[in-house]
Amino acid sequence: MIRLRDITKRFGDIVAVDDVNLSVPAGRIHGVLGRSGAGKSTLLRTVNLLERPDRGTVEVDGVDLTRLDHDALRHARSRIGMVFQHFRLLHNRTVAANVALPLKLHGTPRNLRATRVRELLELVGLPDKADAYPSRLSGGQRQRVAIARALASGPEVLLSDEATSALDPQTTIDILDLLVKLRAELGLTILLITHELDVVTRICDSASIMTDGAVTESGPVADLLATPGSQLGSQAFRLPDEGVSLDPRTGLEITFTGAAVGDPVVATLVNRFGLDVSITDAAVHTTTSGTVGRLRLRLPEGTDPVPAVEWLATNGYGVRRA
Amino acid sequence: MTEKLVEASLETLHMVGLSALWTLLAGVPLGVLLFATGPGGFRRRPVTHRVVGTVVNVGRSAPFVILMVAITPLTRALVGTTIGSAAAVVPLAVAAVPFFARLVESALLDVDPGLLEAADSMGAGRLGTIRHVMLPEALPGLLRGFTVTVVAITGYSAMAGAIGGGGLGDLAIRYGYQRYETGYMIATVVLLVALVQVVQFLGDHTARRLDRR
Repeated sequence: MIRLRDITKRFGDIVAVDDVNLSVPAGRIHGVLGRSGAGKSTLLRTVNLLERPDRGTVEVDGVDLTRLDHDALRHARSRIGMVFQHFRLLHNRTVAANVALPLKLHGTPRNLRATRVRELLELVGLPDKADAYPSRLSGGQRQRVAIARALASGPEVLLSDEATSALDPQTTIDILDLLVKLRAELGLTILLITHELDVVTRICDSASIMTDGAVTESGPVADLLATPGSQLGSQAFRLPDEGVSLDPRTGLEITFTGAAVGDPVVATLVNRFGLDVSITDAAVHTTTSGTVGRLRLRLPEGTDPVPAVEWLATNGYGVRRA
Repeated sequence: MTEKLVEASLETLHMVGLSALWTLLAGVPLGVLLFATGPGGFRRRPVTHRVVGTVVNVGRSAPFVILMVAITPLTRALVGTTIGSAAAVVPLAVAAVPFFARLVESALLDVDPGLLEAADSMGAGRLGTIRHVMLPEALPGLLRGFTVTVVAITGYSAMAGAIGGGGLGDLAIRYGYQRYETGYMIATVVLLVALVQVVQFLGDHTARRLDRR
């Protein structure tokens, strides 16, 4: 549904986006994770050409947007919804007027607008706020209004620019759940950028990691998490003292996915291999395509872990010793 | 005296009302042009912006009494005479339009620039953005600017009296000043103050009601 090819964008001497390729199939949620200044916001803005790339093509639903003229681009943009970190609602208009704005801009008759606004507010869970003004709403409610507005003209694609970054953790989860629900009900394709790892692990099917304008890692979230040494994995399973606990002589890191999650792996190590392991760290992430966990163990000094490591590797666990 | 005061008040209202209307009609588009072509706008045209800006600044810096006399030919061309309330409307509007246009520009600059991007992302055209996003969002600021402008026009209108524009200013000069009739002087000042108070109150009140930030 979205296909970016060889996108490069410079601002003066700074290369904000450096030769990025990225594609999101229809109905998928893809997350771009990166620190602020990594260029992810610029990258997102190239999708609806709010930023025109210096090089590369932007394809949405099979159409190369970079070749469209002004009017065709305006029409194409109405098929791509966008939500922002700070909502960007009209303060002096009611919720209903805000949601109706894209319809008004594209000349939808008033009676149709009213019906559509009601549907949309129902969809985002704010059916009773039509006549309220945004300043009376909480952050989460404002983002719901912004989402309803973004969906007003019935887009297939939703772009999310740090949509949850200004929200508290519980509200963040509510908004993410809403996005998942909208994907299921409307078949939306969602491209989101965020600096919050939890956003990616919670709702994204696939993810890219962006550093200094370039995509350094990309793939299905569960695969990235399960790959020992991946950037997403090391961020997700970060230890404050990783260097210390992973002593190559005594440390053992086991990554398990899918069916292996329920297995008594520690008991096996103790009973079968006689290793009196102690757990130094463990974490589990539930992604849209299954669970990925990582377990860090310390072995007693002087024991030989090799048979256990081989057994783990042949049974589908990811193992790392150093 | 009452009869003269009523007549002069009506003339003043007529002058101020008409010039305010023209100022609104011309000042908003001019202010939008200044905003759109300027640094914060969505249709940056630095040369256009500077030319229009300079014209506006010249218009604003000319003292009203001088302006009024200087544009006499224009006034004659537009209304056929240079005397009377109808004629006074021309210099009043010419003086107020650039003043109001600057206030329109600054009210538009006060709107969150992120809204321009949001409108862009919805596929809004330029006119749609102005009409459905920028102007509604700037409305309280526009109204405050318009109130200030109407108050200024009221002040100028008293000067217009001096060249035969009629109205309260004219009355004050001819009866209050030249004929030493203090009663007229006091009455006109009271009426002008009352007029300004009413305009300011209505403007502030409405702007506050419209402002939902």
